[in-house]
Amino acid sequence: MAPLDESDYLGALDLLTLDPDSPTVEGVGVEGQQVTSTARPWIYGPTVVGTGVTVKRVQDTAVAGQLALVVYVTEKLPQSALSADQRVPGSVKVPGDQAIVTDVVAIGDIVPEVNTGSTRPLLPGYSVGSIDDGTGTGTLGAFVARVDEPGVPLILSNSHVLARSGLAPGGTNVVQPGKVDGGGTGEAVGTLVEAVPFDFTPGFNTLCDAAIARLDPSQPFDPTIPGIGRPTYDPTVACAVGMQVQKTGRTTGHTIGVIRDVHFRTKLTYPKPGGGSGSVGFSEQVLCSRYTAPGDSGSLVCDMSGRAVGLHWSGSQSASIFTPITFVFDALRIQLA
Amino acid sequence: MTASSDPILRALDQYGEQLQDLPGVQGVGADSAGLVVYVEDADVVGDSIPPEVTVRGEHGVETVVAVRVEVIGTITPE
Repeated sequence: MAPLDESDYLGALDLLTLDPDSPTVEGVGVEGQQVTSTARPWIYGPTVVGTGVTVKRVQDTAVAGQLALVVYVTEKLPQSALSADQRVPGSVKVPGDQAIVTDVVAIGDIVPEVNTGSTRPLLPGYSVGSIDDGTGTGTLGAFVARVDEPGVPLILSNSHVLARSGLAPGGTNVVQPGKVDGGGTGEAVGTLVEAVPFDFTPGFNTLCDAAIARLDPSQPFDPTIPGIGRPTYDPTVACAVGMQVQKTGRTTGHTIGVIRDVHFRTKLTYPKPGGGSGSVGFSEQVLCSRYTAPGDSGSLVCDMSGRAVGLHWSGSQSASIFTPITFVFDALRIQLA
Repeated sequence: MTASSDPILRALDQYGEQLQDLPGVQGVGADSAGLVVYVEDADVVGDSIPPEVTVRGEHGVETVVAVRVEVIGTITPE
């Protein structure tokens, strides 16, 4: 019999992890059902967090030419802590009388990689929000400065992140991380300076959902965006359909999207300064494939060379939307710090 | 932004808000093929979105611009 290769192991992995939520396994024959049913107690054992196929390792040394179906666990438990059917066998026979070698590797808990924690120095791409708004947590997009005050660093994000959609008064504390992520008065890093007002009149008369906060001079910061680098700005860079863009955000970290529409217009409901709410029409926005999630609002969107092209602010189940950065810079009279 | 001589962008200016205000429409846009109407759910909009619109140019020349529908779900600030 020929030695087993990677495709044999991947086939075995597919079989053993087939329909984990189904009480019975269909379409794999009697022998396949038997193998799958027998494997379930150990392949979904008490501390198992994943499975895969890779080179077999013994005492952290790779065994040349030997593949293994790997069961990843948070920690290795003593055999006595497991029932007989939960113990991972040294090998498992699959249909065709093939013996698939196994391995157990401890990797700890798997958690989503999100930028929700406190960072000092402050970094773009991490959680930020207004102290005045329990739900307004988003992403610190970039460090910027007024064009006529280049030495004073400011935080750039969305109005609905830093300014309670324009309702928070100037001077309101901005906290890192945002309130949803545990930020409180002790985590204040700056104060709201300005939010671009929304236009509630009919039509598409609003260009951005953006705000800036003055950074507390005692707060160290690093303008380098994790996963992207220090952003630059080139006003000649134009967004185009099919172009890849990247961002690093509070919820999904560093991700890449593709532009689908550069003339996108939409209307969303925002709270009105005098009370109640109203429809705000946005024009000339950029619609992309879905590469963000709630909490990523305020992320600086860059092209794949790290040049700033937009400010992420909204999304749907299958799309993410950013405002061209030129609109934001012009509206707030700012530039990258 | 005012549309240029591009009939598709003129159509976006002329019909964009009307299309946007139809029930279930989440946004409007344009590409080289015509207008795009982004909807929450195809079943909600039904037949309310026309397959094409007509715009008139500077010299009265009419141009038919195609309208495409894309389902994107519900847009919210993130």
